[in-house]
Amino acid sequence: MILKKSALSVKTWFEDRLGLSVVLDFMRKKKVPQNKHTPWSYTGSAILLFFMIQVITGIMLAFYYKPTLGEANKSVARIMTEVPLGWIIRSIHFWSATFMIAFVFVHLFSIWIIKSYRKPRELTWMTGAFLLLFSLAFGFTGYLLPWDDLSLSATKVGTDIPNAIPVVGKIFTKLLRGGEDITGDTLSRFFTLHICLLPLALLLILAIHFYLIQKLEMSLPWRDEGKKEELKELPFWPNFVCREMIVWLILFGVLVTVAVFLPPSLGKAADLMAAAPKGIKPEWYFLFLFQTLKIFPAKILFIDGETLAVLLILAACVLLLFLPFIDNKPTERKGKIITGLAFATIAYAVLMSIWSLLT
Amino acid sequence: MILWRIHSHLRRTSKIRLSSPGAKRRRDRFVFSFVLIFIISPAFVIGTFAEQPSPKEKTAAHQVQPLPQPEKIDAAPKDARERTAVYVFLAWLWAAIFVLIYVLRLQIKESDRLNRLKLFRDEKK
Repeated sequence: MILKKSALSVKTWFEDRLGLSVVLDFMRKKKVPQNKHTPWSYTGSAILLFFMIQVITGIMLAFYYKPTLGEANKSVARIMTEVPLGWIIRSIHFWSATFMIAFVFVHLFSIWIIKSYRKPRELTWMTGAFLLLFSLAFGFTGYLLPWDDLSLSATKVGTDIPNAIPVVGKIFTKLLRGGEDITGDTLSRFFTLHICLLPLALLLILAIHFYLIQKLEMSLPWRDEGKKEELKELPFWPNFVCREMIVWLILFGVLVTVAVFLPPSLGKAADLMAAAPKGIKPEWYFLFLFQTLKIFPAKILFIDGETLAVLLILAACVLLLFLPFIDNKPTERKGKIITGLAFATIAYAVLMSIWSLLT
Repeated sequence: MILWRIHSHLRRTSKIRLSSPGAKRRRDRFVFSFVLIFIISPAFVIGTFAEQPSPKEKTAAHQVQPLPQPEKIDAAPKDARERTAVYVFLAWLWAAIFVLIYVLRLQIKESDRLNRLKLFRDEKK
C-alpha cells in the first residue's frame, strides 16, 4: 500500500513537470489501419530495433577500440579474446548491421511495390532513401575498422570507385581517404564518420521520417483510399505496440542465435605495403554494384567503361530518390511498369550478387 | 513494476473475461512462473559466467612465451565450459522470449476484445 502510494506520488511529480500524459493520450488515440499491407509496416520498426542494438553495442565496442594504425587490429583482437563477452558483442554488432541493411532493402522494395510513396508521402520516401544511403555508408565505414587485410583491400577498391566520376571524382576520393592513399588518417576519418557524423545525420533524417509518418499516417492500399470510415483500424496502444513487440522479440532471438553460432572472425593486421589478396569481395549488400562494375568493358566507344558504369549507378540512385515524382500516376499503365521495374531490380540485384559470389 | 502492471492488468481484465476460477488460477500460476523465470534466469547466467576464469588469466597460466600473431582469430570460445555457458544462456533467452510472447498474446487478445466491444469509443471522439 505504501509502495503504491509512493509510486503514485513519484508519477504525479514527473507528470507535473514533464506532462507525459499528452504523449500517452496521443498513443491511445492513434489508430493504425489494418489491411493486407499491414505486415510490411513491421519491417520499418524492425530497422529501428536493429539500429538501437547497433547504437548500444557500438558504444560498448568503442570503450575498447583504438582507431590507430598500430592498435586498431590489436584492439579488435583484444575485444574478441580478452574482454568478457566481447566476441558476442562484436558479433551482435556485425549481425545487427547485416540484418538492418537487409530490412532496409525489404522495407524500400515493399514501399515501392505497394506504392506507399504516392501523394502526399513523397518526402517520406525521400527521407527513407537517404536512410538507405546512410545505412550503406555505416556498413562501408565500419568495414575498415578491424584493419585486417580484407577490410583494407575492400576499402581500397571502394574508395577508388568515385575516382571514375569526371571532375569531382578525384577530389571526393581524396576527401574520403584523407590523402592520396589509405593511411592512418583514413582509419581515423572512417572511425569519426562511423561513430559521430553518420549517427548524427541518420538521427536527424530519422526524426524527419518519423514526423512525416505521424503527420501523414500510414498509407492505405489505393483501392481503399477515400473509404477511411469503413476500414478496420487498430489502436496503436496497446494493440499494435504488443504485436510489434512480438516481432521484436523474435528478431532479437534470431539475431542473438546467429551471433552466437556465426561470429565474424578477424584476419591478421593489414599491411599497407603488401599486395592485395586475391578474390577480394565487398559485403553482400555491395556485391551487385561490384559485379555491375566488373562486367563493364574497359572502353565503350570513346568513354571509359568504369566511368560509364559509375555514372549509370549514380543516375539510378537519383531516379530512385525522385521515384514518387516519376510514378505520379500509380494506378495507370505507367504505374504498373514501375512496379514491374521494382521486381526487375530485385531479380537483377539477386542474380548479380549470386554471380559475384560464384566467380 | 512492469511485471506488476501486467499482472494487475491481467487480474483486472480477468474479471470481465474469465468467469471460471480454474482459468483464474491457471493465469496466476502462469504469472508466478513467469516472474520466477525472470528472477532465476539472470542469476543463473551471471553465475555461470562468473565461475569462469577470464581468457587472459588462462592464457597467462598456460603460456610462457608470446605466440606469433595468428593468421585468423576465430571469435567463438573453444573451451567446452564456456561454450556450454553460452548455449545455456541461449536456451534461457529463448525460454524468456516464448514466455513474453505468451503474455503479449494474452494482452493482444484482451485488448482486441475490448476494441471490438468499442469500450473506448467516446475517448476516440
